[in-house]
Amino acid sequence: MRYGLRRGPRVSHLRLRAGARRLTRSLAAGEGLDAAEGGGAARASAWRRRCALRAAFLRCAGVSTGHFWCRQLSLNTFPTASVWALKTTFSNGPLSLQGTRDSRCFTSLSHALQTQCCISPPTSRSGQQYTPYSFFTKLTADELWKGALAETGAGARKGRGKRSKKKRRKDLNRGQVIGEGRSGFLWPGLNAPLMRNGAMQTIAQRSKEEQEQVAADMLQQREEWDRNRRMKVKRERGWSGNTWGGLSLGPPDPGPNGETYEDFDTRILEVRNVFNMTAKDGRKRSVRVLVAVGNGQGAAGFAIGKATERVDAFRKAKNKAIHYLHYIERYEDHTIFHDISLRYKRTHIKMKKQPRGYGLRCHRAIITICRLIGIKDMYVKVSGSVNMLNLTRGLFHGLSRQETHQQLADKKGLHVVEFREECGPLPILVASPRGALRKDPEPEEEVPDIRLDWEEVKATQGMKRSIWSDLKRAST
Amino acid sequence: MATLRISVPFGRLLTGSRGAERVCFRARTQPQPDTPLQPLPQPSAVRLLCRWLSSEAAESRSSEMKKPTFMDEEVQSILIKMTGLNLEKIFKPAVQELKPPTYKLMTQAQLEEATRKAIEAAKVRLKMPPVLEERTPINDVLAEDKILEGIETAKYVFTDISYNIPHRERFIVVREPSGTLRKASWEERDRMIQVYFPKEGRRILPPLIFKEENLKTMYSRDRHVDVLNLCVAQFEPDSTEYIKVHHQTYEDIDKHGKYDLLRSTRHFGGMAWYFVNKKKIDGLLIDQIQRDLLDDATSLVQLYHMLHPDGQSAQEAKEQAAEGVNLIKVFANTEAQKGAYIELTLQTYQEAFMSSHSAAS
Repeated sequence: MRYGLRRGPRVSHLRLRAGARRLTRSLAAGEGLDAAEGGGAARASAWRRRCALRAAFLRCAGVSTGHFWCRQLSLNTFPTASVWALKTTFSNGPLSLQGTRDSRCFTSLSHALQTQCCISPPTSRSGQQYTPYSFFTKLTADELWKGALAETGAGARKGRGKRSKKKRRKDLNRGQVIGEGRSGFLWPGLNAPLMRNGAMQTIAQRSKEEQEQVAADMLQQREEWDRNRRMKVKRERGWSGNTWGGLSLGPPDPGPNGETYEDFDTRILEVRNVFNMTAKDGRKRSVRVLVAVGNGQGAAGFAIGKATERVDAFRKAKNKAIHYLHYIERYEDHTIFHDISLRYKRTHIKMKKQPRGYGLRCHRAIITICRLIGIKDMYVKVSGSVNMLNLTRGLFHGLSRQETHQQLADKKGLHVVEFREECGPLPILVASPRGALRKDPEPEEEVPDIRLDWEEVKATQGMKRSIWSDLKRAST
Repeated sequence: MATLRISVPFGRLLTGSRGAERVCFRARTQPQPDTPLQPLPQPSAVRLLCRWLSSEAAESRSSEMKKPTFMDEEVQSILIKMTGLNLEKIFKPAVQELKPPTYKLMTQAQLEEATRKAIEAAKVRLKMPPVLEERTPINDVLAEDKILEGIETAKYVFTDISYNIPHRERFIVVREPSGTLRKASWEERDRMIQVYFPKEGRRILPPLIFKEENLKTMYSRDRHVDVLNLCVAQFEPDSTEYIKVHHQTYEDIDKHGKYDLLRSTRHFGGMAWYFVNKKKIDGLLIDQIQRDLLDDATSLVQLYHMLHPDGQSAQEAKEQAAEGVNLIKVFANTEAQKGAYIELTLQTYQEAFMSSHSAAS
C-alpha cells in the first residue's frame, strides 16, 4: 500500500506514530515508515535487502549526512539505478543533525519530513542516518507538499484560515549538484573539471577538512536562502500603514489597438471586502476597489472594480477607469476658476480657489484626486457623509461643471477683470467676450445677493472654537 | 570785526548759488552801520569788496536763473517723460501673503476708468525722492564745563521730544564725559529721532546691506532697485551715505548698461540727473536709441543743454536749431565720449526704421 498523506488527521496520526522508540527501532532495523506501519514480513525482508544494496551504493556515491530524499516526478536515474529513482535532496542541516540523534517526540510534520528518513545501516563516519527507501521517497514532492501545506481543506475555505498558520513551500532540491555527496568524491565532468592541462582527470576524493568545509558552505548558503525568503518585502505606505488608499498601481494596461497610457497614474481610493449570500456557498466574499486615474494635465477619471481576488479587482478598476475620463479646466494650471459648493447625495463639498503656494488642504482622498488632475492649490471642506464613492462622484461633478473665465465673459457680454492684492489697483484683463460687448454695466447692489454659509461666517467673525482649524499639516 | 565778518561769507560764496544771495545781503548791510563810526580805508575796502561781491552775485544770479535745479518744472517733466509708465512693472506682485484674486465684470468704460485710476496710483508711486546736496557737518559747541570732567563715563544725549516740532529743528545735544556740551552730529540726530519717532522701514543702526561687499552682491543680482529703496527708507536725502550709495549704484548701472532696471521706477529721474550733471549720458543715450526711445533720447540731450548751456554742443545746437535726431547727432559729434558709437547706433536705428517703413508701405 502506498502511504500517502491525504488528510489532516492522518498527518497527526503519523506524527504520533513517529514516536521515538518506534523510529529508533525502525532505524536500527533499516526499515522505513512503511514497515513501521506494519507491512508484510516478506515484503519487509525483500525491502531490507534492497535497502542494504542501495545503502552500500549510496555510501559509495557519498551521500552527505543528514539528508532525506523525496522522489521527484522526473525519474532521474543514476547509472547503477536501483528500483527507486532517486534524487538526493537536502533538508535543514542543523535540524536534521539534531533530529536523528535525539529521541524526542517530533512536534511537527516538517520535523518528521526533514529528519526521519535519513536512515541507513549504521555508519561509523557520522551520526547521520538516512533511509534510502521510506514513505517520503515513494511520493513526489508535489504530493508531499500538498499534504504538508494542507491548502485545500475545510479550514482554508470560507475565510477560516488563519494568517499565521500558512506554511510556505520550499524547493529542497535547490543547491544540489550531481556528484556532491557525503563521501566527498570528485567526479571529473560532474563536480570537478574534466580536463586539466590537456590530461583527463581521475576520480578523486576530498579530504575530511575539505568535505567539512563544503558541508559548512552548503549550510551557510541554505541559511542565507532561508533568511532571504523570510525577509518581508516592504510595501509602500499609502495614506497610512495597512490601508490601500493612496497607493499607486502604475499606468493602466495598454489597449487592444495599441494605445498606451504611460502618462496616466492610477491611485487606489478605497478597498472594501463585500459579501454576498449565495445558495451554495453561503457568504461569498468579493473585493470592491475604487480607483482614480489621471495624467496631471487635467484628464482624470474614476471607476470601481469588483473581483474575488484583490489583484484582479485592481486590474479591472484600473482598466475601466481609463475609459471614463473627464477633462477638468484649471485656471493657470494650478487651481480652479471660482469657488464651488455643492451637495451630492448626502455629501456636502465646498471648494475654494487659492493662490499659488497654498497647497492642497483637503480630505486625503481629494488630495490624491487633485494631484492626478493637476490642481495644486485648493481648499476643500467636506461635511455630511464622507462616503468615498459619493465624495469622488460629487467632486468630479462639481469640477466638470466649472465656468471658465471665457465662458463667463461670453455669457455676460462683459470683460472679466482680475484684481490682485499684491498688484495694487492694477486691473488685469483675463477674458473678453468673443461676441458682442455690451455697454450697460452689471448691476451692483449694496448688499450682494449671495447665500452665506454659517460656518464661514463664524470663522470670519472669530466665533469658531475648533482646535482643528489652522492646524499645521504636511505641505500639499 | 568787519573783515572777520566778511571773510566768513567769502568762504561760503564757493558753496552754493543761494549762498551768494545771502552773501551780498550781508556784504551790503554790514558796512552801513559801520561807516559813520569807522575811518575811511575800511569802508572803501568793504565797498570795493561789496561791489565785487555784488557783481559776482549778479552773474551767479543770472546763471542761477538759467541753471535748473532738480525740482524745476521743466526738468521734472522731462524726467517723468523719460521714466516711462509701464504699469506691469510698477505694479509687480509684491512679496507678501497671497490672497485669492477677486473678479469683476466690467464694460469697456469701466475698464478704462479702472486703468486710469491705476495710472494715477502709479504716478503717485513714481514720485521722485529729492536730490539734495550733502549736508555740512555740525560742529557747534554750546558750553565747556570743565567741572564736569571725569564724573560720568558715558555720553548723554538730550533730545527734545515735543511732538509739534519739525525734526530738522529739534534740539539734540550731547554732553561728553569731558564736560563739553555740543550739538549732536547728523548721524546722532538721525539715530535719536528714529528711537523716539520711529519711521516705518527705517532702522536705528544702518543695516549690513550697505556694506561694500553686500552692495556688490546685490548689484551682481541686478537688485539695484531694492538697494535704492532701502537707501531711501533708511537715510535722509542729504546725508553722506544716501548720496554715496546712490552714486555708487548709478556708477554700477552705467558700467554694466543696466539702465532698464530703473526705468518705470521712481529712481530713474535721479539717475538721469546724476548722469547729466557728470556729463556721462552716452551709455544712457545708446540704451535709449537701442530701445527705439528716440523722444527720450532727444529730451535727454535737451536737458543736457539746459544744464550745460555754455558747452560746445549746446552752442552748436543753438546755431543749427537742430531738432530730434539731428540734436543727438550734434551732441555725438561734439561733446560725447562715445560719439562714434552713438552715431553707429543711430545709423542702425535709422536703417531699421527705413526698412520697416518701406516694408509697411
